Amino acid sequence: MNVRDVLAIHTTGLGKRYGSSWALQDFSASVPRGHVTALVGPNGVGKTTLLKLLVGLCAPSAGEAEVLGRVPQQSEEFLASIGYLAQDVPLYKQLSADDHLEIGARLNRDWDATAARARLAALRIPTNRPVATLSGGQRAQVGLSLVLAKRPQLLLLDEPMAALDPLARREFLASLTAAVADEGLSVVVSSHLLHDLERVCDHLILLAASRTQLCGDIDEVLAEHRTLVGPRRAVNEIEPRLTVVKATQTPRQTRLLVRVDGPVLDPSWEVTEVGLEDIVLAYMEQDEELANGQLVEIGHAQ
Amino acid sequence: MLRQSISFQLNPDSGVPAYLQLAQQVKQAIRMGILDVGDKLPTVKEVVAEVAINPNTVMKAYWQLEHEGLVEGHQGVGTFVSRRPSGPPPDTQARLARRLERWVQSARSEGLNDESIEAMLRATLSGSRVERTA
Amino acid sequence: MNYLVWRLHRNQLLTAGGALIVLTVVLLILPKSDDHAIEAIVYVTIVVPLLLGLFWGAPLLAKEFEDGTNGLAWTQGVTRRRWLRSNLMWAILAATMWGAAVTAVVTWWSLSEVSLGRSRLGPGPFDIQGIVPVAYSVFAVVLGIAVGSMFRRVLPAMATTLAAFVAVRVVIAVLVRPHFMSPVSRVVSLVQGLPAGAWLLSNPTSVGSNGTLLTYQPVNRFWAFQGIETGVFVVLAAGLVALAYRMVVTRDA
Repeated sequence: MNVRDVLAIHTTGLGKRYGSSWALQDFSASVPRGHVTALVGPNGVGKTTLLKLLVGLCAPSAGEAEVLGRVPQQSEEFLASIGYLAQDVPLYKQLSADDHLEIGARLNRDWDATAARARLAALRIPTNRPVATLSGGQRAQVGLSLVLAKRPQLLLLDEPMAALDPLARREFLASLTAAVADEGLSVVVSSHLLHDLERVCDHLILLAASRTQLCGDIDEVLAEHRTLVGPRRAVNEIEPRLTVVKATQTPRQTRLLVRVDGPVLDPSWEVTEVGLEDIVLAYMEQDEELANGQLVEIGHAQ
Repeated sequence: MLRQSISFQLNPDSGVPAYLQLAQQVKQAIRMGILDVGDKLPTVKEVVAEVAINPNTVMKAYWQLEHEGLVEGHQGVGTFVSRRPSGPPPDTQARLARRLERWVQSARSEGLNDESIEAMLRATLSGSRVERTA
Repeated sequence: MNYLVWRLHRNQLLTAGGALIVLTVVLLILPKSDDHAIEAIVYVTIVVPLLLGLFWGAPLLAKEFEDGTNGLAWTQGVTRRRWLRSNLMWAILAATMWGAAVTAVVTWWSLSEVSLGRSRLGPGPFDIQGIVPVAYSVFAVVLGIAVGSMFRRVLPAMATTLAAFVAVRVVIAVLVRPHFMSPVSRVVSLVQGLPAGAWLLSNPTSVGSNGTLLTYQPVNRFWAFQGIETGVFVVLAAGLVALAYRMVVTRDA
């Protein structure tokens, strides 16, 4: 198999059930290598579950996953190819960053501590004190350095910037993108901070109602969605080619966010482009309406 | 202080795609004489470490500049300025800028607000004629 | 991985070493004639395996689960199997050494000679001599590890380890140990009395005018009983290792 053709992630119908409820259902996606992918969706939709499934921290209840061409498994080879940073950045509290680097050197076959130390020094993070004495932002940088030092091919980050102030977030993203530029790393990062993600990501996975809603290149997603504004009309009068994601009605006006597969022909619509944040929020709103028991039939009379 | 030749700034809400903003900033630096023919542009890694954006965006910007013939990329060495963008030299630009300033001042004193000035400018650029309302 | 275990648990190992030195010093200065002191030393020695289980075994994995650092090791190139194996190995090794060291120190102090007139086989002296203290220590530590990997939180793990260890020890010592080998039942004359060092299992019953029915275990079965009890605890420990394996390797993280 040509190494270049191996997808970073390939899943079919992947699902995970805890007891009688599904944390993730019917997740199918393909993500090629060399991209920074944003994983977005409402809280509880299954983002953490998905990342854990991809890393092998839990086993699927349904479907299949392949990461870098391999089923996630407990083998040193597989573990060496991936890097994972959990949301709370677990570190050995009483040990220093230097200790962690020392330990990492002994646990991993491929280990580059030089770059890690250089990065931490440039950020002026003390490496000889117990990590419990560092701030949240500093700990996140230590966690990131540890995971980058093992030189993985795919990096999976679960809300790594949740507890960081804006400056710390900017520094985190800069470290991350520098590593991507340097090593051709593939990254999947789950986050709520859409603004930050938009700068850094060129690929998107959107989960809502525990299912995939969107998966693809961000530029394509932007090209496929439009806002339509026009005189009030019933939603079922809209061309069937348009998938309505969000409809806002006033007595005089209809505003739609739609997914299109070609130009909009009806001249009574004013068509404008939509920003990524608005697209994501529209899909997330759908999820909420379904969760609240209102069965909203998109594309039919309301 | 950064060690690379120029620094960048992105305005994500401006509506202008990121890669075009970067390309424009390079062109402006060349026009103003900050970058000269033969100077090396910052590496993708340097830009990304400063601005925290996707490396592909930087590469797109540099390809755009290469497409316009302004820079040349040499594998393993870097990207270098190969020619100045067509247009008048910096002092001519400064002179034209001062004239524009004076025009804007007189337009405002005649009662035109900034929005109208912008609209008039855009219309003029796209070549249509505009009727001035008395 | 070995380096990681050392680095994480260095302090506990050094503390235990310090405690051992303190115990040795105490035994050096304590006069062997002080009955209360001897009683105290016996209790302390009986408690050592439980302490190992509570403060080494229970928190070893449970603390890592609580802090999430198991995930750190598991994604830093250590498979779950290797993680468990390494932790178990070092814990068992350390428990064996400490258990043996404490026994050796106490035995050197010749506690067996001052066991207050009780049989070597009787509860108390039996539990602090020979090889069973090592078996108890290993069992306690493995119990702590298994329970810790099940509950994944330190306090419930410690509480359960305490309860389970005490329950198992008491049940085996009181109900099972007397029957490791069929007790000897003999009628002895009042002159003969109880054979030296034998462990009396039931109240003597008068038989006839001159005899007493005794049920006991003779002292020459000491090492056999030590072996059997050790065997029992080793089998229990093996079962707990299998449980820990299921909790760590097969179960979701």
